[in-house]
Amino acid sequence: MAKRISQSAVNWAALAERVPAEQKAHLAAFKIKSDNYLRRVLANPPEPPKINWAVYKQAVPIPGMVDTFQKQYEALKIPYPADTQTALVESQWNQVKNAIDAFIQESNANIASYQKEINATKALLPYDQMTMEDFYDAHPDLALDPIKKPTFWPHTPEEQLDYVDPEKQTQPTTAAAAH
Amino acid sequence: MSKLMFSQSSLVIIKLLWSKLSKFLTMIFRPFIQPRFNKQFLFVPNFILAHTSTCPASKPKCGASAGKGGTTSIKKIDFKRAEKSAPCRFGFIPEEWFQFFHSKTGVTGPYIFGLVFVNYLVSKEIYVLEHEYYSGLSYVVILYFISKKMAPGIGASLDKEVDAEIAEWEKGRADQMKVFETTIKDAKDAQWRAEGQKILIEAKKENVAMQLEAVYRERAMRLYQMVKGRLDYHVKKRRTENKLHQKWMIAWILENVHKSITADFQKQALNQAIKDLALAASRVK
Repeated sequence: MAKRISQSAVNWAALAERVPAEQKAHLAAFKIKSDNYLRRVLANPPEPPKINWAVYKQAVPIPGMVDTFQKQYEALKIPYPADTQTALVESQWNQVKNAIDAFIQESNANIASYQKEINATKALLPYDQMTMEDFYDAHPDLALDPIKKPTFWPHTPEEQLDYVDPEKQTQPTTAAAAH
Repeated sequence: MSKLMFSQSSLVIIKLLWSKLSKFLTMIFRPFIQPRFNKQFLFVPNFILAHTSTCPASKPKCGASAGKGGTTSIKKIDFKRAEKSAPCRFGFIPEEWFQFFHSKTGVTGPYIFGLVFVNYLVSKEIYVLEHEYYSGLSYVVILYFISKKMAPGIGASLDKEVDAEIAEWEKGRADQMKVFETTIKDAKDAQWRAEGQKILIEAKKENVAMQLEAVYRERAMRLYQMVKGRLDYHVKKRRTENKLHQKWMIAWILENVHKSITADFQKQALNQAIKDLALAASRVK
């Protein structure tokens, strides 16, 4: 016989706390199902009440009938239903566990990279103490770089040779749409 | 012979000098000759293009020579940029120069030196007091008044702009930090939530166990109810039979009694009853 269960041991509060807000509905549905099962369990006593055979022996006139009833009743054992689903749940848990492990690993990698970014940002000089070179080191993409990407004075995007005016660029398409 | 030797050695020296000079010229003019040059071809000592100690290591390297261990050879220098210039006297002569003289000549030394030096320059006409000098005097007066009257306002407004820009940059940095920190916090929260699936799986297992238990209990109760129901049936059946037997017996007895009562017997009984009544009435009197 498998382990008997008489009441719910699940800490629903702890579970609800961990469920993301967008999945609360699923949790509620699951909880209702679980509560139904619990109610079904509690609807019947764990063991059926004892039959008072002596009373029946007196009350029933047919000789031997109660005795055979008693013998057969006591001989009959209710088999505990076979558990075919726990193994499935276990396999599901294994899958979920792998997924969780992978997720946590990935997440930790992300955290490490973000931590690195934080450290790099913290290590930057205060901006009021930067020279132009320090600024280039901190922001190579923003700083003036006359060697790798030389620009014409006054070094604004509008004044460069390859600059395309976004208004002029969008004009033909709108004209085409109008036709 | 000696002349020849001299000319030979001088030739060697000239050659050497020329090679040095050409190298130097190449170094100077290469950026102008070849606009998209590579820094590796610049004959500049490593430490000039090396990273400073403040250069963040995580960012892409800006100098090409950084690969040659430029960063490691640089000593860590911990100083700040001076926001304001060093103190000076008369508005333009550095205080340091006076300090330099102080230990050697005392307090008046630098003044005497200055006077004598200016005197020397003027008297030897090294510094000529031509018309530019006199217009310079008026410039000095104008600049003095500008620096006294207007400079604080100009300086304050410029400082304000600089401060605003720096505040913007620092705010950008703080925002970025906040974004990273919230992302890390969210990631940790998500991990914590993901681990909560263990509880869910426990609950699933429990659900399975509960259903099994429920089925078991239902079956046991069904057996109990079936057996008990049959027994109760027999008990009830016997009771009902007894009741019916009793009823029939009473009915039969009554029927037989009724049958045995004849008209004579009825009249006799009536007379007897009247007699009894009369007797009872006389007793009451």
